[in-house]
Amino acid sequence: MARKGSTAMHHRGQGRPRKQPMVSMGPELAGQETEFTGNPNEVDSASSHARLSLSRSRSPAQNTADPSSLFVELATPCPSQLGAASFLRSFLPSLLSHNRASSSPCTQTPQQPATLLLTRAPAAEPRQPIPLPHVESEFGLNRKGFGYFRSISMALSFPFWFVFSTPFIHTDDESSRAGCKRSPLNIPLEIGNGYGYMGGIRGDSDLVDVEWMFDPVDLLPDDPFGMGLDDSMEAAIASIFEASGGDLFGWTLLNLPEFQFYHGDLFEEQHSWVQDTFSGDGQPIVDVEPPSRCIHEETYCGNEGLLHDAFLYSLGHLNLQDLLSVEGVCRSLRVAVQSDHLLWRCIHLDSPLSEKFTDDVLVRFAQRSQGNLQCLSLSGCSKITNDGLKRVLDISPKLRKLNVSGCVRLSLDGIINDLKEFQSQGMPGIQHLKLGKLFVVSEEQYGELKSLLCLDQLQHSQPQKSRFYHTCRLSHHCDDNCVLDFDLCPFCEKYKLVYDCPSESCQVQGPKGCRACDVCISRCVQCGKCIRDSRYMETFCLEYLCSGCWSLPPSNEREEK
Amino acid sequence: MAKMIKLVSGDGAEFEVEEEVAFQSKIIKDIVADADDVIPLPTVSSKVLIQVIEYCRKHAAVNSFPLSPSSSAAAAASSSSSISYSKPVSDPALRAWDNEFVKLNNSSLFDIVIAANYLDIEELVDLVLETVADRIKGKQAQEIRRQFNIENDFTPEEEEALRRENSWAFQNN
Repeated sequence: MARKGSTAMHHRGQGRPRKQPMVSMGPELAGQETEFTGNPNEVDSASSHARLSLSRSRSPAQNTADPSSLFVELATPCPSQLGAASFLRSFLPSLLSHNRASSSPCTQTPQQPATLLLTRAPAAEPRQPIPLPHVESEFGLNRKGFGYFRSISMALSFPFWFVFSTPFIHTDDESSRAGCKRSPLNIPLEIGNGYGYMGGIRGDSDLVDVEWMFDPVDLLPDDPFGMGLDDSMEAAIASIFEASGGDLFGWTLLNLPEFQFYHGDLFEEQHSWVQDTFSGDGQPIVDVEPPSRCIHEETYCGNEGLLHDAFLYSLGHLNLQDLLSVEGVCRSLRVAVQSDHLLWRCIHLDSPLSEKFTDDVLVRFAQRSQGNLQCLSLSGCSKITNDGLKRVLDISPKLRKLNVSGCVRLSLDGIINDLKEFQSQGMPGIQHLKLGKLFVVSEEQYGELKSLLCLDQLQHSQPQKSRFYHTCRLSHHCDDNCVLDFDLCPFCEKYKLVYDCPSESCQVQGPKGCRACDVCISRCVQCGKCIRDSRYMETFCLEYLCSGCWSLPPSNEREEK
Repeated sequence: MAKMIKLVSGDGAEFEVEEEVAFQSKIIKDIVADADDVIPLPTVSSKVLIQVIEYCRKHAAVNSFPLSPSSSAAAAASSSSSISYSKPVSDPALRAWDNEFVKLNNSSLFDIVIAANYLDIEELVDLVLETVADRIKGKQAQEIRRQFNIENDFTPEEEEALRRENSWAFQNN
């Protein structure tokens, strides 16, 4: 079956440098007979062309004398990127599925095993296509199929010969010619670079030029069958072969080492689409996670920002350190971490990061919240200065909770001044302030803080929650609703961190029975109970353990966590 | 006789569950309140729906009614976040069951959380997200990439810029 004329596959490079759409076919294609080829710039030069022709017929019933077969041939000697492989890839599943559904066996001609041969084109002259065996079968090439063609085109960027034969419906020239007239693709689509037509324009040449300006194939998902297009072509073909049960074709794939595979655009389409399709089909091609194997279903970061939503939701459960790690994973995650202000509504710093925080870094993170910063805990940030804190307060009008315990460079007067200015801005202002044990608060300062935080009014409206020594050391500031952690110690009458006692005997005495700073009443670091006249042990860190906790394993702490 | 609710998954499979099991999902609770006993769930596949129903069944048996979203944060030592979670599961046996339940691969977990989010089962959403977050915690970027099969699409210059930006985190004084 000589194909006269020289046509070639083109790939449309405008505006899409990485994609290589090869063929666009309309949705009406299914069930229709179509023959088309691509035609690049030069029409007659055989040295730089590729040719693709695809033909199939509608149904066996229509072709009694000429049983139709499916014939796909693509050849190009030119080094341009090409889409033959994409055809193969997209063709295979639909062919397979179709063949599976088809009940009529091959009757017309002895079946030839379908072979897929990909080699590098040795010379410029186009080869003759090999006729296919005839098989009666209903065939419909669906859009998914062509998506695969496109995928393969992207995967293989080298020129190659592609001869694909399949025991499918075969059409010879006449029938295909006749069929093409019915094809809806007989509409000439003109694009600027002068390509030919899609569908059949019957002229002298059997080969018809193909032209496309809009490629619906681009809308197709890249890997709806979860074949793992990142893997080698061979693996992909193998997976299809496995899925088909290995009973239809014998594939031979020459996978030359020169073949390159694109990773870039393969996962551009919506991942969720793949997920839906995949879970719907229930195909077991990819199932459990072998982390080393790049399974499409498991790849959540396309280069164009297609992380699975669930992954992004989980970022809210990470602390700052982990967010910084995630930031460095890929571009989309970096954008997600840096621009999602919800992640930065509550900035909580802990060792070991807190000691390394400088003013600039703090302001940078505060900026990420885009003015929505609500809780800020600078516990142990020894490098933060009053200036840095002021800058943060300036850009965070919604700040409600502030914890500056362990910030040794902060002066209390500076804090009070900043707070004065902040609280006067009209927003609700800071409602919870934690100073930590390193600050020494004078009476005047306490008075000022009290008025700034409206402590008096709050104390009347809500009873103060009990503060326990062991929990205050571990809990996060977000949990605690205490307005100010400082209070007047009834024993030494200084303003310090004051704790209540969780022991039942002390609580019976009343809420103020055992309430004092930790200097006046020593407390067990594990259970928070007072150690008065009872046996205790001193730990290596110069903390106290009551006799009860000393004998027990530290289960309390584990429960806290 | 417990009232049964029929759930129809995206691929047409029907699942009949007891009312209290189905009511773990607030969405279903609302729909049923409008006297509708057959609930189509087109976006949830059978595989995922089976797992969600299993979770709901277990939790319905333990709690007599679904937990209301409380404002208290999750476990005290959990990492900081601006999002508040439902109360953590207090029953250690149930917690152990939950931990076994989430021993799935990443994609299954993601499917479940999307479905649970759609059905508004807050506990399950938090459980799965916390599990996913645990798989991220403590890891370096490269390890996270390997775990979730994410490709590193930074150019070397971008990586260098990012490293410089976060160089403060690596300084040891």
